[in-house]
Amino acid sequence: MTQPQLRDLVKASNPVVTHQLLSDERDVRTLLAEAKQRAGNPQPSDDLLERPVERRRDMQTQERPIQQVPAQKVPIQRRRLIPAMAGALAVIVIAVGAWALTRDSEPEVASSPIEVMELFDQNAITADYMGAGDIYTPDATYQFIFVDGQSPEIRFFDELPETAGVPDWDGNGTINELDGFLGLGVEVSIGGTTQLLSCTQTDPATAVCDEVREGFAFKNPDHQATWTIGFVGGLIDSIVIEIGPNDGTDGSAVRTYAGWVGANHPDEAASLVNEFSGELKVTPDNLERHRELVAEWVAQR
Amino acid sequence: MTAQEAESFDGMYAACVRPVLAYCLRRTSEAEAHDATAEVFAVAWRRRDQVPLGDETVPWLIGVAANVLRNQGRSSRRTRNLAGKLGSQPQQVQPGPEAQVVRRVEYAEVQRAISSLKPDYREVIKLVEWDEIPREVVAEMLSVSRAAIDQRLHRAYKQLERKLRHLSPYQVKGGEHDAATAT
Repeated sequence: MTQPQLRDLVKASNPVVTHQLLSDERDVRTLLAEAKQRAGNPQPSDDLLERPVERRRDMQTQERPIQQVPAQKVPIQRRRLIPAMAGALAVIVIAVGAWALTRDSEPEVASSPIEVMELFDQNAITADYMGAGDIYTPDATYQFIFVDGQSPEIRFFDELPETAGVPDWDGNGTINELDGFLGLGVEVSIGGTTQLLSCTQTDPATAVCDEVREGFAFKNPDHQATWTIGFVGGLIDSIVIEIGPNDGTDGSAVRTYAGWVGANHPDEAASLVNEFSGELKVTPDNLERHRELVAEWVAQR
Repeated sequence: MTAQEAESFDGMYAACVRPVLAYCLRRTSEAEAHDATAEVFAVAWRRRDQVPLGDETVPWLIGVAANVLRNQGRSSRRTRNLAGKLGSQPQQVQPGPEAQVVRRVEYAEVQRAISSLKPDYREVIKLVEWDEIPREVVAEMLSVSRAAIDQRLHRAYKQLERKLRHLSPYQVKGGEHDAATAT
């Protein structure tokens, strides 16, 4: 059953057909008379007019006023060290790249949010970032919400200086926040991921996705992240990513892989990993090689 | 109370009584739903200067209905039993061809699946899909963000997918109107 079919089924399963109620006008008048008779009784307590106050018990549904987080951009170094974003961001880039491969002059934009996100997920493993920006509105933004704070809204097309050290992932000659965003996703794109996001279209202009990271070689099973994607005219206009307390990438697994590269491919190791810190060096030029080596590492584990 | 005020209130009542009654019927028994609906409009009568106009009227009244049901302390018990009691409710769709019977069986399964969801997910499914209240209004009613409503819907549907995986993927045309007009 597809999602639209399930939603239609839920709607059709409505146990009460509103317009068929009180078909006899006498019943309508009886109920009105009863209401007016009750109204003559002592005043009701004000709590009948109040809205419920929900106890906050789920960070992913909680709306919290952030008071201590400074209102500046999240430092690039911090963004690079957020492995939880790696795969998620790569999905967008990869999806964009896939569109770029098929397009002649204009990007093919899917007709609904769920279709867009299904394409994103399908393209997660290709890591082709060409044309990544084509699926965003000119003023599109992204934002991270962490357990202990949040980033400001960051515009994808704000340019970054070359000194920021961010590769031109989409190869368009301009280094901007989108390249920074794409770079955060490279670990998932090299890690054998078969499905990154599981999405639902909640209305014609919104998709909500959970990160599932199926097949990801460095998966942290305790990781939770939810994306809320807003669309305008079929293009992504906003991405809000709420991240739980646990990173999406198991750092110890990454370090193990880095050590394995150093031990088994010493001639290449210096360009691929930092053997002291265990961090990966992933660039547009070596991404495919990393993907091959991760697959080799997984096979021999 | 002037004649004009009374006429205005009666007009508001006529326009809103069915959605309010439907909201209550989806959450409690028929007798208690009628009782709660009468109470809602009693409140609206007393507080008529606070009742918002236009598209905001029904959500406001439903907010009062939610409080009435909560105060009555019956909705949680009735909701758990609602799926079983639905079969004894007055039928909205007349028995007919075999396809209609099969469809009603599947509707009952869906209703049971929804009843088995956790309360947050169950309520948002009902408010959005059955009561047909816009998401931003639901967010305001429940005092949470619109994003929270989207996330609850997302997770509710994920759970329903798992619970209803065994159902055949037949095409359902329309919603309650289609079910209502089918004979």
